[in-house]
Amino acid sequence: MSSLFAIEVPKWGLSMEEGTLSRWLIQEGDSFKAHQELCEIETSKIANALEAPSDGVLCRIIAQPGVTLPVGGLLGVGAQGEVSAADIEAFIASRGGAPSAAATPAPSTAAAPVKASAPEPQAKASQAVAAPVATPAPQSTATQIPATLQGQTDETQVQATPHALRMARELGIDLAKVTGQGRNGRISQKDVEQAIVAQGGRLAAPQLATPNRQPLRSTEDDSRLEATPLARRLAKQWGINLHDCRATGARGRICQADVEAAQRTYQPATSTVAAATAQPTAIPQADFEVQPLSGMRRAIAQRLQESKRNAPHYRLSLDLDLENLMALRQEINASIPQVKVSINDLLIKACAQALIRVPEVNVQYDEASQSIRRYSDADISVAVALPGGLITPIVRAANQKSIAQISTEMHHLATKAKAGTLKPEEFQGGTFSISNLGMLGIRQFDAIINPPQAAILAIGSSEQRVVALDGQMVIRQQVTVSLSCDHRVIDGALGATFLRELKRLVQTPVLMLV
Amino acid sequence: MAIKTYREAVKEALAQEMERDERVVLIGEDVRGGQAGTASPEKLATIEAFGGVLGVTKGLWTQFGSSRVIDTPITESAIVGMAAGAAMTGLRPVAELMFMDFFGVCYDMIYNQAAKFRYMFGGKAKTPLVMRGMIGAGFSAAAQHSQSPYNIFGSTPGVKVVVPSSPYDVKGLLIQSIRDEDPVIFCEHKALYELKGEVPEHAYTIPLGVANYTREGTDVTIIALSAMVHKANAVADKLLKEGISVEVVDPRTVSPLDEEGILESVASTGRVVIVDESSARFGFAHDVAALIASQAFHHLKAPIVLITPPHTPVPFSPPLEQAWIPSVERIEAAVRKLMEA
Amino acid sequence: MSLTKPELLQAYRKMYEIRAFEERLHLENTGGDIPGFIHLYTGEEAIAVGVCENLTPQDYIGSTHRGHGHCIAKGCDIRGMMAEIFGKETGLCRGKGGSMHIADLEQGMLGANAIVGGAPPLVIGASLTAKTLGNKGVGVSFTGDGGSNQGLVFEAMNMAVVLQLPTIFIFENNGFGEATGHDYAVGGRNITRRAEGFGMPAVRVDGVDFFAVYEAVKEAVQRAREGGGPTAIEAMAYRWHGHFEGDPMLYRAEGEVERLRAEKDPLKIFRSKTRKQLSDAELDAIETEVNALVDEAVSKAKADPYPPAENVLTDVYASY
Repeated sequence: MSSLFAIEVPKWGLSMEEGTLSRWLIQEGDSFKAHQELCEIETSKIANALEAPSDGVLCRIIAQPGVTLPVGGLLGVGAQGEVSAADIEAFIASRGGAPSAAATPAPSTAAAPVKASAPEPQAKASQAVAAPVATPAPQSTATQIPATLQGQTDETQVQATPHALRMARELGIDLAKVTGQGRNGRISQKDVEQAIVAQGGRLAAPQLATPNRQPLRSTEDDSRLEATPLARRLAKQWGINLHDCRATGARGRICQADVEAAQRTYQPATSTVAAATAQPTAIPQADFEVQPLSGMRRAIAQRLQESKRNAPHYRLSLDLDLENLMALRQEINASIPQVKVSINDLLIKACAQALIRVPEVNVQYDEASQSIRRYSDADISVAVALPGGLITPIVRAANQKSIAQISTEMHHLATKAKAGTLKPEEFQGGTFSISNLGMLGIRQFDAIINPPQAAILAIGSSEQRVVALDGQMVIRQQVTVSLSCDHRVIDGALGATFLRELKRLVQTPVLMLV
Repeated sequence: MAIKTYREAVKEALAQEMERDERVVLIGEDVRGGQAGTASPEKLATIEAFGGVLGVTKGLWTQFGSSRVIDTPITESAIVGMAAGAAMTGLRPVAELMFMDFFGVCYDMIYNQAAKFRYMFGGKAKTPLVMRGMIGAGFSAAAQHSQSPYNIFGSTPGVKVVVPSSPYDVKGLLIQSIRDEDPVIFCEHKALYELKGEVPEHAYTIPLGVANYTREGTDVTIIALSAMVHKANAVADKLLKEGISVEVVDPRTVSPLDEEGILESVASTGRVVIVDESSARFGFAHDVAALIASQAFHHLKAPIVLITPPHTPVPFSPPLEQAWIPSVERIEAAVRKLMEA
Repeated sequence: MSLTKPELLQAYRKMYEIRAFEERLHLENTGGDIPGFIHLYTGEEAIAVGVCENLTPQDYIGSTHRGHGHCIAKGCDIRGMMAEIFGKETGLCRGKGGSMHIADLEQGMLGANAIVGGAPPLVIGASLTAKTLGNKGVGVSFTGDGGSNQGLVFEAMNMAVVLQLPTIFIFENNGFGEATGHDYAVGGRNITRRAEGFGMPAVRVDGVDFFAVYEAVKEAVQRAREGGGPTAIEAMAYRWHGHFEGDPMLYRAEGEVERLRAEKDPLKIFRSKTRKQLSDAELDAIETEVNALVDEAVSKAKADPYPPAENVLTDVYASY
């Protein structure tokens, strides 16, 4: 007596619609007992192991790690007793899968695939080795109309918006071949765009309004506005009209921070306050004054030069969607009046958790002894800019601390750093660094590793971006992060795995709590 | 194609639909006019004193008789309530309320009754009812005869709201409204009745919820309704000579609203002026601005400009009234400012 | 008496259906399963049935917020009504109307109407349809003594007279508009005379006597069908329950309701007037059948599914 049975994506909870196979816990051909864990599946809410429904043998793996399948999607085939290969093929075919494709690892040909799979980590790793600086290749941006849509529209025969008609005329599209989704089947521009993409064509990037347009500046008399004396002085120095400052000070007064914020708005590229107060850069043909390096400056110069020279850096960049993290932050800040958690605090927490999950990145490299020190806790160094330099106070064992604790501690550390009262143990050591220039409007940058650490994460500015999601243009809060790794101890795949874990935590922040 | 006035186009639509479908009846004060007058019985038996205070229905009583052209007392609740009850039970009434301002008298019959039958009764009722009336300022008709409350109607689920701007549109939209299975409030602007334009002889329909671009352009989108469309057109024509290309979008119906037609134009120009005679607050302009801000913010190159009357009743004296109505000058200035920004 | 025995039995059945339905709701309402609020018709059964026994499904009625009795008398399905009151998908209005908006156009029921005085303007519309199409149909509006003071009711009465519409305006004077007595709120204290002032025949009848109501309405319907225009009928009756379920009725005399139950019960009065034609056994058998029907309606309504949430979006327009 022998029989085959399906190993399927289970429905864990009412709202679950699909699951992503994280990994198989047994190999093809292995036998298993009822309730034994067969594989790990991750949903938008949880990650969990799938238990065997009965005793059996895993006679065929259909879905490879990274593949996302709907509930009921076929992950593999189990068998009880002797079964022939032909039986298995027939069983898979009866489930609507393509039997011959089952053996190939490409996830897109697995049975009942509905969604594009997550990028396969191994493949990405080899790319990373070959080309560590992962700059995306510039894409062709010209619109291409698939042959199936080309033609001329008989405008008396179709119901379409004026802009859809205009688009059809300009691009040589026959609207009779486009399905309208509008009222009474009317064709809109969006319908045309969707048809182009659906039939294999390509759309030029949309022309959006320049996001960095200079805001208009006021010219009214601001002498009667309530402002602190320092704010007024700075505003005059930087040529800012106080009408352009948002008053957040006591009793509605404009304070220093408000003027600085306005200055950042107008000069996002220059290093704002620091630049304004810092000494002018020496330019050869102009007058200059000689300034000896400070101790801090010298330490920075020496350590980073050494790092850049000795550590073979490569960088991995990734966009993180912050919508869920922002929501969590808002919820925390709304619920607990004492804390004011920042996105940076949450990213510290996320990095710490990711480091615990990918411990090979939570390391220091001891060049002298040619050894790797692997740490059990994630001590996160956070770069804090100071006048004339920077320092990296450490949130020790951030993996063990609550978000509120991290937030409070970071606040204290930053205050002490600015006051110059950090103790050595508060900034020496660390297993991983974070540098955030997002508040200065930087979209993406590469940081230099802080030795003897082996990796540093550079965080750009969190901003609204138009992104493609399920074929639609949507606006999402996103940030670009770049991980610089020392290739001597962290290989490309490893760095990528860490970033993938970080992305998972940031985009599903509830995972940080489990 | 024949040139007709907006008034003639309305009447032609009514006559053709009454001819086509005997369930179509006209109900309203003085839609014929002259009953129980003191003129001689012979004369009273033949005349139509008013044909509605707008003169739109003059001649229809002669053609269709008293059972189809029904004069009523000046009681708006009973007119609209009766029309709604008749619509629910098998007629297709067209009720004339003269001035839209009077909808305040009978608003219960519109927003608590006619608009809700279908929903309250689980989809089992149909209310094919048209309520016609005049909107608009410009005739020193003062505060109770000059309003354009289509914004209020548009906020009511269950009714459709039509605001035609041209003779061609008014005929096609009215025929569509009469054939529609839902209650329709049909807003005719009193400044447009003498407007002439090409109107085909035959009966035709224009679907509700489809905007008309009266001008096509690439720099600025002006969204305007009813009489305001013509002011927007004038600005577009003038500025074209200076190289500013203006697209004028006439949504034609407030509910349903052609969101695509509006958003696509906004996406193509990135600059928007909305001209609206309804209200300075909670008006049609504000609703459309919210639509654009929420759906097409990333296309905007400058803030949306709203041109509405001030937050006051409509004044009587001509200079005051002219100051109240959104003007060509204000529209032109807004477009120019947008192009400079 | 012009009614046949089957007609009498039918009339009693309808009245008892209303009684059993309303008294059951009175009990069920305390269970918390009924959303919103309900207004009970008990004590006024003779009016609804006395009117509707004169009507055909082609005639239309418009009702009030206290409309269950009118619905039952006009032929609405009791199971569908009960399911509607419980907010279920199987309700007559698929759970979108509730107690105050039960409608069944196929039975000529234009809807209970939660706007006081809301029905008369709509009913003259149904009358206009009948007149225009020449189908001899009539429209009957139910309005309370409270609604009789609404301006739009006056407008409707005037319009019906002006256009000579086949309309019967029923004014159910049950003594109270919400918690205010009609002697206070009805200026002139006489709705009949007021209706006469609009230029139509108007009569006041004893609203707890089925036969008084039936005969008056019969005459009015006949006049309307023959093109004689509208009639108003003021039926004097008594509301046994509060304005709504939960109304503590602080405004009522002690023992008043008990006295009404003893002396002004339309069903008891009907029984006493039909002793010669109908036996108690026959009427008791009807009551047993109706009780079972109401039991079934309640259990079914409780077991039936609620409408799915996506239905919130349907039925707003025929097309949009």
